[in-house]
Amino acid sequence: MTRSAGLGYPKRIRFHLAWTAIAFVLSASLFAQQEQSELIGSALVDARNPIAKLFSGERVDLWSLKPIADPLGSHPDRSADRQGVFSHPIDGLIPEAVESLSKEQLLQRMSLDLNGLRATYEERTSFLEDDSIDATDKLVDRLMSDPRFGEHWARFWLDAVRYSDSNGFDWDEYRKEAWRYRDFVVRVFNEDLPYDQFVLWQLAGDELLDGPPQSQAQLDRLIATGYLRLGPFDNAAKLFNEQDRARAEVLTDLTETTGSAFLGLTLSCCRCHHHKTDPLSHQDHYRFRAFFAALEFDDSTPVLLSQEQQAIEKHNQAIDAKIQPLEARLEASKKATQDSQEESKVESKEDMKKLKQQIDQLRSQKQTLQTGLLATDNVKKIDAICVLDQGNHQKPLEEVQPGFPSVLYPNPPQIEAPVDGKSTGRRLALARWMVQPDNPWTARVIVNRVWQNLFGEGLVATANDLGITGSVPVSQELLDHLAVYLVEHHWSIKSLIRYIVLSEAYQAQVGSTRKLRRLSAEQMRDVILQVTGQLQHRNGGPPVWPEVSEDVLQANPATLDDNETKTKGWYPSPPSQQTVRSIYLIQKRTVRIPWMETFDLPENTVSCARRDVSIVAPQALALLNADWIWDATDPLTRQDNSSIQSLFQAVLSRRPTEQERTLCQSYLDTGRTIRELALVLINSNELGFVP
Amino acid sequence: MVALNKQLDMRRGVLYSIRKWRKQGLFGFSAPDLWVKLSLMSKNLPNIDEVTGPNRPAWASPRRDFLRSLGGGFGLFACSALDRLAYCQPPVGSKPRRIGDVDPLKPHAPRIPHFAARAKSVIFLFMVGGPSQIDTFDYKPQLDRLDGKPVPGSIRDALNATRHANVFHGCDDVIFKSPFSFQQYGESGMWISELMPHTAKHADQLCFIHSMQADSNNHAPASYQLHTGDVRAGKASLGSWVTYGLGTESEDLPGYVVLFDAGPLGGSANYTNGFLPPAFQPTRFRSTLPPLHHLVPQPGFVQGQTQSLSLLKELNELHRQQYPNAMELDARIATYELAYRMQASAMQVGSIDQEPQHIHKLYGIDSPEARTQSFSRKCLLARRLVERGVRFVQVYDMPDKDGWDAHAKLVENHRPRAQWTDIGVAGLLADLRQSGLLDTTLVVWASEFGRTPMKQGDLGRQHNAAGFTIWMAGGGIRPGLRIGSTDEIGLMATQRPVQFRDLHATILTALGIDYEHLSYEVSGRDERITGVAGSAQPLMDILT
Repeated sequence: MTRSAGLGYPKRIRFHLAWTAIAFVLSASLFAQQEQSELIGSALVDARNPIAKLFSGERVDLWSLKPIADPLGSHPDRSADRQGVFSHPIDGLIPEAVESLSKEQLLQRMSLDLNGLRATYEERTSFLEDDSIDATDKLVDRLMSDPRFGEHWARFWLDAVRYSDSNGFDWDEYRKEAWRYRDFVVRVFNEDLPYDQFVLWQLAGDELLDGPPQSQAQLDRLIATGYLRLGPFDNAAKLFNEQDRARAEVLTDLTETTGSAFLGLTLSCCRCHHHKTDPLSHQDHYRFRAFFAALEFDDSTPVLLSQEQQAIEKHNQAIDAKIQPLEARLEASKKATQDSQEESKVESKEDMKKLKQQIDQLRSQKQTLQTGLLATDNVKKIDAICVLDQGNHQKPLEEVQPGFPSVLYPNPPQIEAPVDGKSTGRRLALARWMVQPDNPWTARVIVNRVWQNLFGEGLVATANDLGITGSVPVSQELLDHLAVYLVEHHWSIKSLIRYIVLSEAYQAQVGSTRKLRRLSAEQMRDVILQVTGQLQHRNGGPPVWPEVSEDVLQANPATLDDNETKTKGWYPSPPSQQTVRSIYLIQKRTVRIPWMETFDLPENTVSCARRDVSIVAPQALALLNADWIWDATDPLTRQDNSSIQSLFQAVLSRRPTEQERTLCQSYLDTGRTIRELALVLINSNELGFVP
Repeated sequence: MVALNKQLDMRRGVLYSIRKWRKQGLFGFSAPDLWVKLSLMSKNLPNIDEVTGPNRPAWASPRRDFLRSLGGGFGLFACSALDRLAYCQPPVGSKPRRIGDVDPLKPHAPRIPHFAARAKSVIFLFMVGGPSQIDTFDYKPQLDRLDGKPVPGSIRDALNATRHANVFHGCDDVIFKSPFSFQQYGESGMWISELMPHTAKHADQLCFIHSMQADSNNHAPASYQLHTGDVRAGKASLGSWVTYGLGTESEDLPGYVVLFDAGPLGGSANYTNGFLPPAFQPTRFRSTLPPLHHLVPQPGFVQGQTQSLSLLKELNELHRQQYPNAMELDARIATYELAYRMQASAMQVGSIDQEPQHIHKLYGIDSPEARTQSFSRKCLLARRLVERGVRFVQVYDMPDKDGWDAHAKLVENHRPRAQWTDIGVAGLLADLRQSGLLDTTLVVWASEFGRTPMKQGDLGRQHNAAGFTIWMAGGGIRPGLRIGSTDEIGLMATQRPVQFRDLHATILTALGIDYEHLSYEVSGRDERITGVAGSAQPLMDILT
């Protein structure tokens, strides 16, 4: 019924077919209530569905297309029964019996998984001493109310949306305002913004506002649209008359990233042709892309509350009012000098200079309206979105209208333009559809990411691909149970995490259901700073630029070509700021921080589904020989009372065993120093892995 | 002299029999196959006495002196051959795996190619910024006649009808003839400009492709495409693909090394592992010591390093007891042993200054010009790496932020850049050849695009993705060939246009890899460097 239904017809007929179809669908949607049967159903049930016509059989019989259904019904709260014993519902769904890990290991696992950092020796002592039945519950609450929770959990989402502080390509310009989005994501997790709101704001925050923001939450809706700006952008394309390519790449990237990050759909596969395995047509890619057809970068809207804006405007007006008479005097005086008529109005050169100084001084008091890295629609410039032959923007085929994946949603969506007329309402329609109850992807994708973040592997191993070539869920029942749990708990990510980490499955020893995980690049750096007492708190804000050697900057020669607007160079932050958490470090696309890269920092150009973890020799060299680590061991061991025990307590948050003490003592007896011992402990496997 | 030739042949014989052993061990080559190769090779060996004049390979004379100075030198050859042997043995007790079958605990272990490999390693010389083809290797005498005139209508119409129409954007409609003179070299009679006198001596060893095309006329996208097959960033580079496919033959050096003073335009996204596992990310070596970041222990740690590492191991073994099945812990313990060995081996391979004087001279390292020295050192380091089994070495000639990007003042841009790079490239070819490594090492000289025959601004040239020249030499490549051509002014490839994916397919084929079957699944799609559309066409006629 949509245009894709007309595949195979000659173009002219297709055109007529399409118009007839649109007219029909429009009238159909008007009378949708009365004439439900006239609408086309999903490919699972309706033979008229374009995907059903295109691919029959197995392809549509895909687990992730089926409605989410909770196997435990609607009473999941910690009451499921396994062999007569009360147990956590999650454990009811995982048949294997598991052994719990020690209390000490649990503490470190939870600290690393929830805050990205280790529990200190003091925290360990008080946790081990707490014998109350709800000690673990209290621990989880404490960790999740710590602001470091958001700093750790923001990371997986920033990976999924390929966050970066720069444009990429030749010049890789620094995006001075991107950090506002990063801070927003940290806030989202700390304040537990419901995930459905998180989705809506990122895709269409601007369309949810009717006027300047009145509260931080409203302002965050604007800042969230930074999501639409995060992709790479070839700013030099215009020099070579390749703007069309650059625009096409922005839309391609946005379509593919949105498909991967929010829905686990591999829309990149149907950019050039029908999907080879999944029930997605070539048209589906472009129908999806059409939601972004009017997208325009917005670098002018202030990222300030309405009252702040007003205050600044008022302040500036007051200054203007003071400047005006002075300028008038200056002007009159200039004129008088030229005409040399009215002596009385002529001021001395000295006075004129003073006047100018006064004006300049007043001007410097004016405040600028801080703008952000935002996006909105341009209703006057809505790109005609055409299916592209082989994905080539120079080879457009038929035009398409916005539409959701037609396997389940073949009918045109209802799109209402907001009354203010400033946007098309397309992105809002897309976002609302994502969080509507019958969408089979959104909730599954996010609970899987959360699970993956806690276990190292998702219930579906391919977090960005819930399709046929993706992995089959280890337990679809569990995945669906968690998805229902999330939605029923108002899309609260914190509730979901709490629910999972209190299960036996999460608290199991390393073994068949649970693997050891090397710390991520960020965790590794943060933990070393933490245990050496160097880590400092930073309340968000612009990124911190580490000092890197000249030859690292030469990785992109453009870095050496600093410019007036200070976007191309490298601008090291003062040494006092360097020891912040890694999430606040600058993340350029073409110059990467070598130490972090060694520990598998992902490419920030496309959505990263899951961190790769390698264990290679350069990591050992980076941990043994890096200056900053050796420097960090200095204050740790300079105190007079440094001893084997104090080092173990600081670095591994525990006392040494007798055997360890003996080994370390004989090491020191050979003339080795306590500082060298500190470096050995930093390199130990105990510090390098999540237990 | 006859005796000397015999010695040279003998030396190659020794190397070959060793290589034969290696190949049988790793690649399962049959002996007859090798004998055919060996006889072919001895046929290709020029008699030094016959090679005179401008075509005389640079290696002939210095090697002769070197041998004399050693009074025979066989001992040294045998020694260096054995040295190489040590690097190339398959790991004891491990079964060779096939392409793509990566052992997560030993991701760099060598893997068996799909079919007999013509080359084992690649040295990719990347000239950043777009050197002009019509001023180097694509001789167009018609330019002299058309100098100062507009582009002929037929050529303009032909270009405008293609996706490359934007090449005209930003240039004047005025032909600008090459300010450099050309002459013919070698038996092939190849025309090469005065910019490349040293490379020109190897004209008969090179295979030129005159009809390369890129999909973008801007640096970063075109450069990404040359490295990764896609104009968008985020894909995996050729070096990562090759090491992912084949692993590496060096046990204590990385498999994929990049060398530069300044990197390519578009930065690290060019040579990245992209979506491939991080084990296949490149390692940047410096051509001065220490060659790697984080290689040298801290002064306060170095003296007791062995004790510290053994304490670390003991503590880790104790910790290991808590996790009976965690292989990751063993793997990490092993990386500390390897790291210790790497400190020595990386230092050793980076010790360029240990090379004899005549080798320094051959590469131009004795040049008074710092930039020549610097590039030449990278060329020599590339040979030292390949010699030790490193699979893929990518060398960038970028001395600063501009590269060959001569939008103005072509002569002032190109002449020094040619001087800085020509002798090093020629030295590398000569050295690889004299050591026999050229038979198994594929050398590629390329850039992201070329330049227009039209003038831009003050005697400069605009980018040109419509037609430009690259060359290949060595392992698996037929020497002395010229493939494809541009129109009469060198603007657009008109005969047999070649895309980067075709180049990638050719290189992979030379390495024994079926490019359609070197893939990695990303979001449900089998990514390949030659693209998912399967439209790459390897240049089979240039392969031996």
